[in-house]
Amino acid sequence: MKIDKTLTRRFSLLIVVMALWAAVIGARLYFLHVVQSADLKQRAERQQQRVLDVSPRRGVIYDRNGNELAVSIRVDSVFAVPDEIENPLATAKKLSSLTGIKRDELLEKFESGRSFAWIKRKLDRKEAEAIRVADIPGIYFQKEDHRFYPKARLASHVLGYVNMDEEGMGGLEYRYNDQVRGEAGKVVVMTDARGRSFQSVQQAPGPGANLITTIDENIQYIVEKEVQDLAQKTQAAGISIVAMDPRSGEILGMANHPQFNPNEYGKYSPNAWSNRSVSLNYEPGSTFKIVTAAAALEEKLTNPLEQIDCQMGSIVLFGHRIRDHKPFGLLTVKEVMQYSSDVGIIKLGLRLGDERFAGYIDRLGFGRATGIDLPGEERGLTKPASRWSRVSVGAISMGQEIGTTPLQILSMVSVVANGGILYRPYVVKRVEHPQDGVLTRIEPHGERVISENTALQLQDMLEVVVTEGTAQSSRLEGYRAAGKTGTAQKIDETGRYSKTKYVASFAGYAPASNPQVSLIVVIDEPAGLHGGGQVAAPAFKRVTEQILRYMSVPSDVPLYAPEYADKVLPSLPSPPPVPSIESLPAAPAPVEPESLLMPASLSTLLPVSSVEPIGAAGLPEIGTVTVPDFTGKSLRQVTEESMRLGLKIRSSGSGAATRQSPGAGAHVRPGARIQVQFSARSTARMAANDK
Amino acid sequence: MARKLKPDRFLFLITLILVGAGLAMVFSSSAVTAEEKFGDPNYFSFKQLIAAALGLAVMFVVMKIDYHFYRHPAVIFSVLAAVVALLVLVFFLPAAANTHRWINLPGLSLQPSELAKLALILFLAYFLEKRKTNINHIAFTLVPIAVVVAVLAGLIVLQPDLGTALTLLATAGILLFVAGLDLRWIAVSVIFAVPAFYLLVFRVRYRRERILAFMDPWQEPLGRGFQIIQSLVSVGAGGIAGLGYMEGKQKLFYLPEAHTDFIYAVVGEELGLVGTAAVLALFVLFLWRGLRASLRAPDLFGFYLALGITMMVCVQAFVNMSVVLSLLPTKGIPLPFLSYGGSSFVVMLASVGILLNVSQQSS
Repeated sequence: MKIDKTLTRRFSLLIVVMALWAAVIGARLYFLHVVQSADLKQRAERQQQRVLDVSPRRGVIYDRNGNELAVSIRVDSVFAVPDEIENPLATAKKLSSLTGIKRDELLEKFESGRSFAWIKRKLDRKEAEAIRVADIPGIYFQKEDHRFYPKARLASHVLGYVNMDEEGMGGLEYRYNDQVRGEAGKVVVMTDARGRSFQSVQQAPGPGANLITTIDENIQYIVEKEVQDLAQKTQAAGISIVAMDPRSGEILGMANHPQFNPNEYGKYSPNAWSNRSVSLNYEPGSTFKIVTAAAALEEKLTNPLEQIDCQMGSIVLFGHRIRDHKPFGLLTVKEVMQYSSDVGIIKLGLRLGDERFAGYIDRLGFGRATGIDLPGEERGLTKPASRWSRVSVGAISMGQEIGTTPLQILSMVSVVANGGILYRPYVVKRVEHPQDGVLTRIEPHGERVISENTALQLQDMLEVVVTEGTAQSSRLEGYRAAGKTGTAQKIDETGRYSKTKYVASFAGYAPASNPQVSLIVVIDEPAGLHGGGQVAAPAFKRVTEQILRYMSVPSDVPLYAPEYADKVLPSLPSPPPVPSIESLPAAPAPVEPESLLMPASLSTLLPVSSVEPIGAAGLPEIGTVTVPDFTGKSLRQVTEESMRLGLKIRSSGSGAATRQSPGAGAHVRPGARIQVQFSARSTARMAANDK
Repeated sequence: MARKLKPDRFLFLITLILVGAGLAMVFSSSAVTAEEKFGDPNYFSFKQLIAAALGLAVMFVVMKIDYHFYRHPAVIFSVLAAVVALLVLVFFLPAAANTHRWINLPGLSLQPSELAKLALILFLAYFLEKRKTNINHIAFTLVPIAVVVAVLAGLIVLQPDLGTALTLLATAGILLFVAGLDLRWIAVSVIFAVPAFYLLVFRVRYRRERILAFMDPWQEPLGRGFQIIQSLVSVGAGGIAGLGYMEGKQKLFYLPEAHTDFIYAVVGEELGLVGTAAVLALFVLFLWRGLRASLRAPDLFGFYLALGITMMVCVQAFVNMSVVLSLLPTKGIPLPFLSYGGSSFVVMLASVGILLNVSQQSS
């Protein structure tokens, strides 16, 4: 075939154009496949894979007997793939009615432009079922592990709680979070352009370690029951009860009021989340006298039988008069503890001197954290001896001008119980990983702080406190017990000791012959009765009896032992021994002469006055009250009756009521003050007086 | 003067490789969509397999028919008439996807526009040979050609199927250009093309969107830029060696038209640079063997026929690849032999049959 020149030229041109085109395509291929590959690959992965962070499976928290206190359960979480939602408004409406989340909030999530959005995590079964049945396009489920506390409030302050991401936020959950949490799971969901998952490579969440605690579920229950009962009875702002094995420092039970349910911690005020057993900083009052006595005995500055002149209830320190709650004459050191004489103990404190005393305070664990494996522990408030005022030694001797936590006092009492060893309190015995075995095993850790001999002498004294002293209401049935009451006035807003706000406490242990459990009861601001011996000691009795019986501890009470024979108490449960020091640490201003004579204390043996019960909750607030006839009634009866009616009592004298003003039948405002005169029936030496 | 020779075995082999690769890629890229739409992952693959079998059978038959058989006006004009009739017929049939493009018969659907391409090549080869001395004569040559091209392209544009119409125009343009069309006329057609292009492209919303998306796909990555971006992502994700056959992720609804117009992107993702370069090389080889057959054709009819068929296949292939690689705006043109689509497949293979017959008669 003959082809003309134009044809050839045009044909060649065509070949050139096509060749160039092919070259351009080739170059473009190289550019995309090689040069831009990494970027585009990343982009592909980003759009195809959705990595959902899935809550890790937290380890189980057990009590000492293997009962589960905190477990992980699998629940449904629901998420949306906004691209797939056909009708965002209708979907939002529907979901809103099913989950209770605001419609606008949901709409915002749908229109956020993200490929994936959690709608609600960790649904309860009903909710999940309802959403599943609704079968809404673009709405999917993902299984997640969710912390569940099967016993609800039980041991809530010890256990703590976790947030939505299963991170421990309090208690053991927080303290041991790193071990318990495990590895967060990742679910790599490969999705198509419509967000439908077609392939899911799951990186199973690594399980967390289990905690085996020292808590005994039954003891915890006993302790908690008492806390609740006390809360009801006393209307206190806060209550703590802690039970410890004094021979090791193991915490057997720890409960506080207010408490919370960790399954729904968000419904409680943050105040309820705090573990007051370790975080409450309070003036211990008379329970601290044990420290003073321990130091004096250890330093051989005294012995239990030495007689101390208690100067009929008053001692002057550098111009400041300190009045005892009751005038005593000569008392042995043992009796000083028994009757909780302020003057007596101050004298021991003075013998010690600032430096030495401060040394023992530190040695017995005050002013520093006990080291318990729980978060939020307070160190307490102590000052170095160099910063003590001249009267500090007196105040501190009887437990004022010092801040302690309930756990510190309990540890100190346990030192007495176990013969002189200060143990580090602890809650977790073992950290066990389901695969790696035991990670940590915690052994008791203690050091001797006082000699065994000193401890034995103190044991003897503390037992007498229970049998014959200020804490007779703590006497157990079937067991010998030892302990010390404490009633401290709180410092009010003005920096002075409040006359209405008290902290009542009792610290003790049982059985006295072979201590198995030590216990502290702290009642912060009880309404009405506020003495340690009145409210805290009976709680100790109830709780300890139950614990010992539960532990099948054999009775150690000798048959027919006279001091344990049932005897009717000669008088009412003791009103609180509240010592006072006129020069207040918080307000070292000159003190008015009258107040120097203010009796802030009451007899432990005889019912006397100056109790001003604060109005309890639930009292009538409107209308008038008819004043009853108090004649012949005891102080307690008068107090109880007036509390019920919402009246305040200003009493004087002791014994049975003889006169009152306004008189019986008068109509008064609720909260009005009734003057009641009691006449002494016994040979009580003390004259109560009014301000 | 024609000597009996063997058909170009090389060209034959290239075609078979492309057909095989096409079947494999259609299966890989359509399985998920097919499963979802029809509950059968083999739905598209099976139809494509039938089309391939039919196409290869047609190719074998056509290969044996001396191409001079088509050189009679009776054949040429009855083919043209039949194609025009079919192109008119589609407008009286129910629309599918808002277009009048298919004639649905039980078991298969026919796309007359694909037939139109071959019919136009046959006509031009015949006519240009006839008018070889008067290529630039208006009334005698250009007007009749213009009328035929306008009728065919016009009917196709109305379907609407601008891509196929443009392919038609390009093929006709190339043949006229090589035949020696005066530069004057080329200039005139360009001047007329500009407003026509404006009317057809910028006055139609979805086409304008495509152009804008081409110019800056990242402006609306989830809107009009989506397809282009997904195509580039697929190719890039493949890297040099690819993710492996069947391992592509982009076909899972990210990449629209994965088994049809964007099958080359799936090749890129699954087989990498190796795969895409091989496909490009196969079409370059096809171009070479096709042009070789054209140059060796014993007469002008054979020359134009071979040239037209080769250019139809290769221009479509290059345009398709350019679109996938975002070198050209989206057109809606399938990749010959690889993209899913029965009519195109059968017509392409029939065309190759004619091409092979021309190669067989090389001088």
